[in-house]
Amino acid sequence: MKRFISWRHPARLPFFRLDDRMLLILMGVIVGLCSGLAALGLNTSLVFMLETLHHWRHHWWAFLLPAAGAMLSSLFLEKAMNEGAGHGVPEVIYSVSRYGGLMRFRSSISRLVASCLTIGSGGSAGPEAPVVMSGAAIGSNIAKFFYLNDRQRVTLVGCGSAGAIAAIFNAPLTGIIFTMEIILGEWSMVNIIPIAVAAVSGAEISRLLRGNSIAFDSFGSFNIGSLDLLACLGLALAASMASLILTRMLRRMHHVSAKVKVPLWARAAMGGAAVGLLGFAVPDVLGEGYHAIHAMIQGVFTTGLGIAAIACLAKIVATALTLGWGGSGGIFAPCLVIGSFAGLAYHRLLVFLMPSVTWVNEGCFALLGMAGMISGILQAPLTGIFLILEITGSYEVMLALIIVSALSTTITHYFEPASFYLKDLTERGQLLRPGTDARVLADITIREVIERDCIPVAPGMLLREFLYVVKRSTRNYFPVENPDNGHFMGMVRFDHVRPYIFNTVMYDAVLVEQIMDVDVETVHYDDDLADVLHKMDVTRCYSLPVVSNHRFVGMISKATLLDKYRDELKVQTTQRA
Amino acid sequence: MIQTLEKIAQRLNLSIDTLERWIRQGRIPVSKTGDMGVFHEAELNKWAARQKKIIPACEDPSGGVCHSPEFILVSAMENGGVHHGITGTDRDSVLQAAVCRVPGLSAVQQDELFQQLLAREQLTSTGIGHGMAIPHPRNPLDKGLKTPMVVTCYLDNSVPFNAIDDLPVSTLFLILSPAVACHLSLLSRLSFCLRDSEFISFVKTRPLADALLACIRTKEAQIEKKGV
Repeated sequence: MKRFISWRHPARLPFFRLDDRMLLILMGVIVGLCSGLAALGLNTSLVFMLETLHHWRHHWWAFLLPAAGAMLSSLFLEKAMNEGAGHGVPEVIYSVSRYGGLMRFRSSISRLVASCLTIGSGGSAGPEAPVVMSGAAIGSNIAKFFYLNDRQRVTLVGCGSAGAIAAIFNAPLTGIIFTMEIILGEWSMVNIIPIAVAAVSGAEISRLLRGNSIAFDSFGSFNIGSLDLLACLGLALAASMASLILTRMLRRMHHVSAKVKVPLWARAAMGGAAVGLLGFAVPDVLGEGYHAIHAMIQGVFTTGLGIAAIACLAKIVATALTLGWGGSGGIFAPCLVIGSFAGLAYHRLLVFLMPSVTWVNEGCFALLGMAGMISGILQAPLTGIFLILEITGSYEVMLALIIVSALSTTITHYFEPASFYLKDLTERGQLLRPGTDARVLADITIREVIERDCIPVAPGMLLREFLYVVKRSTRNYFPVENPDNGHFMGMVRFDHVRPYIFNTVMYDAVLVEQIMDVDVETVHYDDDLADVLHKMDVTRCYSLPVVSNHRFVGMISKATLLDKYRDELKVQTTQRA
Repeated sequence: MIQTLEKIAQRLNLSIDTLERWIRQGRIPVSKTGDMGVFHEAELNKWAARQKKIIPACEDPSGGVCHSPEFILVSAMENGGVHHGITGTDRDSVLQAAVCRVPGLSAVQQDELFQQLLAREQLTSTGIGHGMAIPHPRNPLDKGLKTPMVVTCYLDNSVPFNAIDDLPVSTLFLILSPAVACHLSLLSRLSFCLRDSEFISFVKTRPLADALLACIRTKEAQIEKKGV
């Protein structure tokens, strides 16, 4: 045999075959760099588009710009890429849990272009989720290129998303935590190290090309007093209210837009035009809105309570209009903007109510509002905390940050049990986190648990002949098959025959067709195991026959299933040490 | 180490579909080339230990258990042999004489077997009527018996045996087996034969070994066909 190992099969090298951690770390670096570059590419082209379109913003027809952008992005996704609109994170999560992270190559650029069109033209959305999707697709395709297996591919998908987040925010820790908390849903040592390496390389490439700057530097320290901490409770409430409104409004917009009977691109254009009109009144709602955050964090945003509150609501509406009507982009950046508006408004309200108290700088509240909002929407408190820490560089607000994040997550969870990213997946029953019942059942196929040692009988058999079959069989179930065409007719359950088998008079008087159950629930090869189990519970059966193309192929029984289920659970939960 | 996927699946007691999926998902330290699986012996064993999976050692899966193979009765009768001229006047003496004809037993084992046969007879007679008896020990013999055997003994003169129909017994089928399952299987097949009156009258003609075995073989073929 030719002992040649291609460079495209690194996993077959003897060194990596036993332990692939080193391989994954190496690959993680590559994936991190690529996805970091993709994130930077989107960032640069966004800046370019903003500058190009800036000259036209003051025209009366400027509201058509977001419309055109959203329309183009929708057309691009639908016609050129053949993908659905949206931010793409649920798709990544689903692909990780169901298809071992398999993603199409075109996904690595589709969202980048689409979101660039939407956001660059003024749509209210964020570039983060698209770069996560694109990074994940890059990781997945690199894994495919090197013929890695599902587990390794999932790790690389995680590397891609971590690298992208790390690069776009210049925040490596956030990249790691976002990936672990939201994309993969499990904390395992085998995954953490490559993902951390990828996040660092993503951040490094961003620092190399953009300079090492903190995204929203707060300049100067916040001195948080105990009264401020107390005020955080109210802020958490405000942030969770804002995130609830945003979530509900996004869904409502989805439903409303689904009822409008026009092509998708026209729908997106209508949403975009509405955002553009809104932009005339409140210019801050347009685009990703990082400019406003800068101003708020540094405390130079000079509007009153009313304007801040209106801006907060307007941004929510604009985001819902953009994303709900078919624009493309993420929820991250709008969340940050809404959060900081909410924090600012809350601060203004406090000052208005208690003018004599000296509160901490309003920038601090804007920052805490962002954390509360992110934690509330994503229901990922750690991601919220670390993101704000890293993008503002304000470590002295740690305690307040934790309070707001944790509270906001809890309150939002009370009203919305599933986070924004997972909601659709949960509703479709597609959220399959590793090591959960749903995941174990989803992975096992009927083909794997089928038992083929049943002896079929013919309907015309006498009880006496049937008992000979019983003697030979090890099972309590006997499928009855039509002798002419082999079609499945029903089952004989030994339990049902037990009363007669000692009565010798009946041996030659009873036929199999008289003792068989005719309307038996059957299972098909392609059925989901979860459905099969549900069927068993409903009919109170411990075994069900598998019938394919009218023919009996075997039995599924709970006893064997337990065996396979445990094997699967053990395999999924014990990590390769 | 390279093995076919079927072999590996069999060894790990997995279905082949599961094995292929696990390889694809990277959950098992085996990689696939065509329909062969490549793995490192020690690594796979370590993995199996971590999964608390028991890999049966590569030997006969049935172990020492005797599960009735085809024509077990004929082969057992061949092992035991057909013996003429067993003398004795009562039950104990013919049993004693029959035990001496069992091939491959030491004197001590013969004595032990005899005691066990007597103990069994005291429980209920093994005379099943029509002059036939199937003496056997209650428990399988511990030592000295690898294969099941049925020792056929024609008695010179009929002896009273306390049989169910009170007829004196002229033929003994001494059943010795290494395991209970085997014993039951032999017993069931032998009693199937002995239910047939034609067969009984044939046995009463004291046929030679070849003729008797040929007859048993046709009987047992029926059983195999019917699945009794």
